[in-house]
Amino acid sequence: METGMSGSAILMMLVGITIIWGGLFVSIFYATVLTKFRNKYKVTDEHLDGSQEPIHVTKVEH
Amino acid sequence: MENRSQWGTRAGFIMAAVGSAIGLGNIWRFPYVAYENGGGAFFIPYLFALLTAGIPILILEFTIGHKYRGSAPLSFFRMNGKKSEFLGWWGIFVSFVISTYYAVIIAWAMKYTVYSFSLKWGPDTEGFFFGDVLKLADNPGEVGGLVGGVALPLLLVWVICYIILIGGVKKGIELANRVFIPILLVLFIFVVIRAITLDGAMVGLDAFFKPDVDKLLNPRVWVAAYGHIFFSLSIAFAIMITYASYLPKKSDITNNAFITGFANSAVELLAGIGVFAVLGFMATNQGVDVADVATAGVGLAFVVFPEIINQMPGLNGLFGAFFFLSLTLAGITSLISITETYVAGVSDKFNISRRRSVTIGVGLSAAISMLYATNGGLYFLDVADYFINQFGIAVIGLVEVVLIVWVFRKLDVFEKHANGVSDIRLGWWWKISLAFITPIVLGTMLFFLIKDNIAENYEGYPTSFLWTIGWPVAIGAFVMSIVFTQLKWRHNTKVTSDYDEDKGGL
Repeated sequence: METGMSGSAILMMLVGITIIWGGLFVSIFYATVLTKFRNKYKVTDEHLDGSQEPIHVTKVEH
Repeated sequence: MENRSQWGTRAGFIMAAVGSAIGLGNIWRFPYVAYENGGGAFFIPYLFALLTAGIPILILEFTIGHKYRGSAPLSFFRMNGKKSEFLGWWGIFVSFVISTYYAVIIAWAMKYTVYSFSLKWGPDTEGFFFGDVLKLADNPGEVGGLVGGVALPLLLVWVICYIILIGGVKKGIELANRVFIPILLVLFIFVVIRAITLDGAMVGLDAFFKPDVDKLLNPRVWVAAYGHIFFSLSIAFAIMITYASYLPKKSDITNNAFITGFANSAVELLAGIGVFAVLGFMATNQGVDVADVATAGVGLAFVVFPEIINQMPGLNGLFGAFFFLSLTLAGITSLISITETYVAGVSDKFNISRRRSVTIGVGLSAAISMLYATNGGLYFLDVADYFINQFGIAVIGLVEVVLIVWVFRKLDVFEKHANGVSDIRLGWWWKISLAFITPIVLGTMLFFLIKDNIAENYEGYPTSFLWTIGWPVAIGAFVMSIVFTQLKWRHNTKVTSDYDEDKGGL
């Protein structure tokens, strides 16, 4: 009986983790960074109905 | 403009959608499906399925809910009147059936969380589960009496569900998911870390990840991947449409779908690592191959896992409690979403308060679910689960996609709507996925399903039993959807192909 993982199994594990968890982190990063970016540079009435994440800049600056 | 409940934050919606998607299937179904269908090589069809069916349908359902701002029947009604309303009710009746037995499994997991501290199941885990806990009848079809040890925790599950749902979207569902999902992840990470530090864990992981590339030539492996993604993501049974209907107007749709889809897969992958690590430990301990101990479903959770917990060198009770509490939390967050579909649907259609709708919905489900807490409950559960999942969700998914894409021709409208509010723009890949790939794969899946069921009865159950519980629930969900579609809306609601969400319909 084998006692460890074969090279192909390790490779597939790394591929799976990279794509799936990587995809999750990229999606979250994209959402958070873009939301912040939008809040900072494109303040519109969308913030007035409390529909998105809390804004971190003062709306009256725009 | 209508006064519809809304999620408090974007994170709250994502937590709820992820909580719905992450259920018992992620923990006990995915690892075995992957192992059976090529191990590491399964990730290739799995990722294809995620990107060409799972996430595209999630985006579609998020868009429908967000654009039409109603429960599934109301959203479909606003889309194309009664010609499409039945799709919403069909999903809701499938959800209703699922909720009745899903709650029972959560009740078992809850009991086992407590049992873990004293390893109450003893050395004969199989005899304990089927005999002492379920007091299982000898033959399928025998109802027997109510098993108090199952009925009481089942009642508790419904009480929890009632309290959460009565709290509403923001203070009930969102709050529960914001608490339960982080706890679930912490518990599960503990379980996985403990699992991979056991002797023989690497043997299990090798079995799980070792790619069998020849299997990629087998169409059934691809169908299995698409089937799993479909069932795992809570799509085609009204949940995601209902949840998306509570999104504020200016909410991202596409990236939310990507986050939900990838988060669900990330937990599945984690579950695969945890489950096969402990199976490797068990196989090594018993001097057998992983293939001899690998299994899925109820048997894995309530027979094999307790056996593994017995054999662990330390932290047995804590490991067991964390594992079963993870199952309980994953189950409750999914049960809430399943129940919310018919709570919202009934409330919209009959113009009754949420409180009344929750009381009727939860009360009726709780009463019916007692059937699964009888001596013959497991047989009923097994058959109802198989038929409603296979013939319910798969058929609804196929009909939903074909009608929306090819009959109602709504893809351009939905693409425009999603692109209008999302960071990621939809394009040709989304349309090709929904117009061609999903219908072809779901059609193939149904073909294999029908072929297999004609060749032999599911699990060798008697035909009379399958016609008593299996086929009636699958066919009944469709029949009831037609009946409810015929009933009049108690609201003065609009039916229009260019429904304007700014003006509202209710």
